[in-house]
Amino acid sequence: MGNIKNIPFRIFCYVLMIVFLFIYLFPLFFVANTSLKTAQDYLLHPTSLTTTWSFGNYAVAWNKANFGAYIGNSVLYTAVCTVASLLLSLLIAFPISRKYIPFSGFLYILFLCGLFLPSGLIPTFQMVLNMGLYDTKLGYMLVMTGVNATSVFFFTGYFKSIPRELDEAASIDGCGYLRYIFSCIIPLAQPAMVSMGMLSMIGVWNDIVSSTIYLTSEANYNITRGLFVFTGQYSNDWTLTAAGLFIVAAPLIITYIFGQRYIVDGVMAGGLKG
Amino acid sequence: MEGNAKSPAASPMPKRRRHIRTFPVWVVFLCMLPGILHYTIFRLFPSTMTAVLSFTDISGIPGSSWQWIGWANYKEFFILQNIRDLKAALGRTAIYSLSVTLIQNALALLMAVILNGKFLKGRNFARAVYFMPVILGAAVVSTIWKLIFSTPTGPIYLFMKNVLGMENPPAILSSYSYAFPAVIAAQIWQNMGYSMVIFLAALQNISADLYEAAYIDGANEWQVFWKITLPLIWSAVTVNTLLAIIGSLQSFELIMTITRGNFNTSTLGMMVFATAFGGNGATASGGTVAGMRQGYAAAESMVLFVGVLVVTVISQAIMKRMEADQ
Amino acid sequence: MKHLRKILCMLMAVVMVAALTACSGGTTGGKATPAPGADANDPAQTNGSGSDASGAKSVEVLTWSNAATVEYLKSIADAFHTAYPDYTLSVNEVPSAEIDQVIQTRISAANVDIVSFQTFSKPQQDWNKASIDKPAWQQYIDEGLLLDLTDKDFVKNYNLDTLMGNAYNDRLYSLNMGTVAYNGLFYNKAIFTELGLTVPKTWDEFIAVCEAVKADGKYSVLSAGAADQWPLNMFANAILSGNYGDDVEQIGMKLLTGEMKHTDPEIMLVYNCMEQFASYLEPGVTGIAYSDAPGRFAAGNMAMYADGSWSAPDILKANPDIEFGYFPLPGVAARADGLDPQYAIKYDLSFAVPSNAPNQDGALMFLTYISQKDVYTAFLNKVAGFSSTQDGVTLENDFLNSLMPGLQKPCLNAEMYIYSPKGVGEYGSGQFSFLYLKTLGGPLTAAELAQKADEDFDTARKALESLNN
Repeated sequence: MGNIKNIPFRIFCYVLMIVFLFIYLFPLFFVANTSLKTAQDYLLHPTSLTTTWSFGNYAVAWNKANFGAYIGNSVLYTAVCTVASLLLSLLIAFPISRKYIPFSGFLYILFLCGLFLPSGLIPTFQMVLNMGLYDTKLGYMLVMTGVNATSVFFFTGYFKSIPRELDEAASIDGCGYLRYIFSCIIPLAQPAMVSMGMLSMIGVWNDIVSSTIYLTSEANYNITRGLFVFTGQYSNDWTLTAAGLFIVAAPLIITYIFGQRYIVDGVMAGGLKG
Repeated sequence: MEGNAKSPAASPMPKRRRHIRTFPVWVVFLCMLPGILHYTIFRLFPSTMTAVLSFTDISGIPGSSWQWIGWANYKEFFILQNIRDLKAALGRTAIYSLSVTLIQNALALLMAVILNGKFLKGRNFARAVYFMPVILGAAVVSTIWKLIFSTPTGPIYLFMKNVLGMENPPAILSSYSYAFPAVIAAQIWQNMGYSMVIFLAALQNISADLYEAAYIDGANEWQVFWKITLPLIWSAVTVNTLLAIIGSLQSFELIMTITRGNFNTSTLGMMVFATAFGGNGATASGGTVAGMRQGYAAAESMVLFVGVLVVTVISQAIMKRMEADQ
Repeated sequence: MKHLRKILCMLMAVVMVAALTACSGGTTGGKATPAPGADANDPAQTNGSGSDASGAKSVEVLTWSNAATVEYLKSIADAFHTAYPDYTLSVNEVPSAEIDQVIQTRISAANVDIVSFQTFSKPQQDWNKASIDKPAWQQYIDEGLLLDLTDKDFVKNYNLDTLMGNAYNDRLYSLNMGTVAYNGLFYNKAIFTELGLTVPKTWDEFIAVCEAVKADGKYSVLSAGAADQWPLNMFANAILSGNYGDDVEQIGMKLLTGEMKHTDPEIMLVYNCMEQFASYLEPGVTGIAYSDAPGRFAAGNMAMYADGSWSAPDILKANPDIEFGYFPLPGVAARADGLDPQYAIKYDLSFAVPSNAPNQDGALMFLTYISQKDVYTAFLNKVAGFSSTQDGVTLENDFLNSLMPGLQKPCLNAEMYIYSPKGVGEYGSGQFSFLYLKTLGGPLTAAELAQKADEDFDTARKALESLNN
């Protein structure tokens, strides 16, 4: 709609778009502006544009919040959990989409249940506790890895577009199953992998609930947990908090700028096929 | 393959199978096994065990004894808690879920329809901006809003004071009246882009010819929206509604990070977390509980689960009915 | 979502099966599997306390964010390592709001050697068993998770009478590092001098001081870190303690059992004082975060600031030039014994050793180390907010010494005595909460709030009865 030359309607659209741009950009802009002020400047003129350009806030926040240690953890968690989740989901989705094993339909529904099941927060905690994995990096990664229902769902749909004849040709040529998956299916499914991978990365990087529950030693903190604790300790210094916030958000924003298409594709496809 | 079918004795394969056999089933299954095991251990099993633990008085303190206590946790939840506050807490959960679902989807639909207009310059930029908070996550989003609502140097406070001329503006995030709406607003701000993108995907599937035909027939934008757009994207509306209901009923990240459950902002999801792992808002009255009462938290969790289930079924039925009406 | 119906059916089935299993599970109790780290002395298993290159084991100390304490503990790490070369010290700091939760989780993980508590108050006992839950500290002790420190040598360095005030069943499970007065107000000496004011000794004098500052108009009268809620509740308790001292113990019991009501004159007096107190708090006070507040007082344009004496170092840090004092919030009537208003105290920073600590020996060595008179004295001087629990310690801190007249007959703060029954509604669980008061922008008058608190207490008692029958 909107292809006709209805001028009032077009103006209405522009106004609304700009109002919403303001609602979405102003908070980010305000935080960015605050992060570049000195504490004194912020107390005296909280809303004025920064004139002090105190980039030093970033260095101070980095050191005080101990982000240097946490960012390594976050990268580790994100990398391991994303790769593991993708692999596990892929190895499940592929045979299901091909019905290579009995009860494929049942399995499919079983994994879809994951979308609706209660989180099981408490038994998971008890289990991790009793396995001796509490407050360990391994325990946290085990909890954060997941055969994500959305991924299974998304991959199953995607694999249907890969011709079955390919499987047959490969198996006739004597290509092993795993080799086939790694050398043929994964390259073919690359866009789907990237989409789901990015969604999973964002989820793990941003996790705050599980890290609050499972990571209690500073040595194991991820960066969002670090940010949360930091804001608690320095809530009187908004300039530092704002700088800390941007340090945590920076990798996300960069990922987003470069991978926007994949991320949005993943979300769109997930929603449509539902 | 037909050859196989003609001589069933030669092949045990069922007739329906039209493809040649590719990889050995056991290899395929072996490769699935880690995923199935992980899913069973870390997803299915805990979800089911929640129901079991809700009949115990297990705590988060290691090595402490526990026992089966029947329905005592449920009785405590429904009878011992202050009924007025319990109603209020359940009401808050409903309001949170309802307002997030309705407002978020209405705004998302509006923005999607607008951004779908090909004439609009900068619509790709706008789409990217609206979607951004989705990827920022609760820790970052909550900190942004804590700064925006902060007193007495936050922009909202200063706006109320200097522009609206209020003498003594409320401290939004530490007020019994305003903290909860503020958290809802933050939740909508964060997730509107997600719903919008799903709507956009549905809108892009509608053929432009349909619109042109309608406009030639003299329909205006309003009529086109109700008669053409909405019916054609109804499945996206259903999906978004379900996602928002389920998501908002269970989500508490922003409540936990913005108000920590203080000032009557605790919903059932937050109560479960606070009861199990400590913190404010563990009870309907906003208090804490001593020790990590995980059996009790599991019971709360079951109440929430049944709630989600009922609401999902009802809303699904309503959506079906509305679809039929169109 | 064409699969929705199938999914829902399966979920229903799963829940029903689970419920059946649970119900048929019988009523036999169980002992949960012992916590990980039962064999906690194996350092390889616990990631928290690794060994450093020289083979020294780290003593993991967990405490809440208090700049002065944390800085001091970190500053003695080297000296401790020199004195006990087998051990190193590692200080873990968490925000005060999260300390209970983190203590619990770290004890669960068995990767902490020393945890920090405050006063062990309000234990579950026979008379209140039905109405309250066991506090977390009591659960730890009853489960045998905290080490009994009573017979350790380092305890002999302290004034035993004082320490035993924080004992449980006559045994010591935590080593208190100092008591703290927190029913007082900081006041800016320059402003008091300028306006010709003196430290108030009665409630009426206190109100007169507030009025004088208000009439002058140059300075804000009174502030607090009200956004965190508890700093205000602290002053509801201060009013209780100021008026009733240790009699609050009886009042707390009677309120819980229903013998006394919030609308009784004794308690109404507290509510009315609260209402008055709240009316002098600066506009927008409910938005001021606790961590912000000391710095705002230090800026010098505020006459009085409501906080515990532990904030003195923070104020000085924000503005080393400010001259300030601290006085106890007075009661309405003068004290019967003729003394000036006295402080209400609590046992602040108290170290306990989890029995599953991976480095228990190190933890005890650390307590031995910090209990030595010179180290302990240095600690108090540095932290500058605690009063000594050892005898014969001379402090060089003027601020601490200025508190002495108010510490002749200190009482335990009302916070240690006031209970909320299980299942009580919000007006009862936030009992004495300033934030409901109209004078702070809330919905209720003092009388209405007391009325609501009574109703909530009654409802809770009735619910408990109906549940127990």
